[in-house]
Amino acid sequence: MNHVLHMIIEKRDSRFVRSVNAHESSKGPDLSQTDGSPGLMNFSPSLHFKTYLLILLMVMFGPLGNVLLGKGMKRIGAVGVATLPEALNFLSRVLTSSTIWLGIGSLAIFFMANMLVLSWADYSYVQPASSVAYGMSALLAHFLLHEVITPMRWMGVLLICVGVLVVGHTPPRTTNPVR
Amino acid sequence: MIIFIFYLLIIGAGTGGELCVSWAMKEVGEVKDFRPAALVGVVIRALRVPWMWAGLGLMATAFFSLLAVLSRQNVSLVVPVTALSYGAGALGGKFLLGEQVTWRRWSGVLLVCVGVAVVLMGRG
Repeated sequence: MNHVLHMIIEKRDSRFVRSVNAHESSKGPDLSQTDGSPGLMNFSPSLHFKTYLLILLMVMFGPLGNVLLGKGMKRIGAVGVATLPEALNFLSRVLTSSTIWLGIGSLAIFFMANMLVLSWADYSYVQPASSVAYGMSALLAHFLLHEVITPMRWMGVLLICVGVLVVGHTPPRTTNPVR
Repeated sequence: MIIFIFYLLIIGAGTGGELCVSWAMKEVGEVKDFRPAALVGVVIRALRVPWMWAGLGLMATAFFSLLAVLSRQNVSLVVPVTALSYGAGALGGKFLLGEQVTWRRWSGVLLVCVGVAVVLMGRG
């Protein structure tokens, strides 16, 4: 999957460079995009593209991991963790559940994508942008766990998505790279 | 009461942990090579940054709190509550990481927070 991701970005980068070369003699594309604030970093479309791609992975695997964990934990049920034997019993039941391991695997992919995107993008951009995951969580909880989602809750999910769109229109990076 | 403490840990430790990871990854530098071998190198470099370990510790605390809450309440309630960390995240990004949180970004964060409140009010 990572290899494919690399190929896609490389291909897109080279297409972008060709496009820049083709227009260099005339006006040339405006690579900067700011929302009117001073001092924002310039960034290329390829940076935007790889940011979106990794956030998409986060949005897909984060909710999936949460739902799988939810399903696994529901099977285990409410258990006490007040005493050491209770805590050990809880831990052994968690670690022997295949659903929980699938959930952990999904969250590992989510975490890797999160780490990579944070190597260039602002935390205050990535965090709200990845909140589309809440809509995804509601969908998965509704269809996989058969939980009841009220219309009001759907309205909240819609507001979250609008907020994400607004954040998505700000530059992903506003700080200087450390190296 | 115990649920409240778990929620506090999910939000506080979760956001703090992600801010630490974000700081560590900025020190690692922008990842441009996505081949598996290069990604392993990125992970190794990241693990050499102390902030990454602080972040992982805090996120592990948040993770086990999440597990504890998930065994008691529905996913569709628990997951939106964790979105309250968005306000904390934007503040942390601005004041701890020096990011420029513009009025547009703030309004997006505000919409997300209002959305979370509506989700909570719509608890079935």
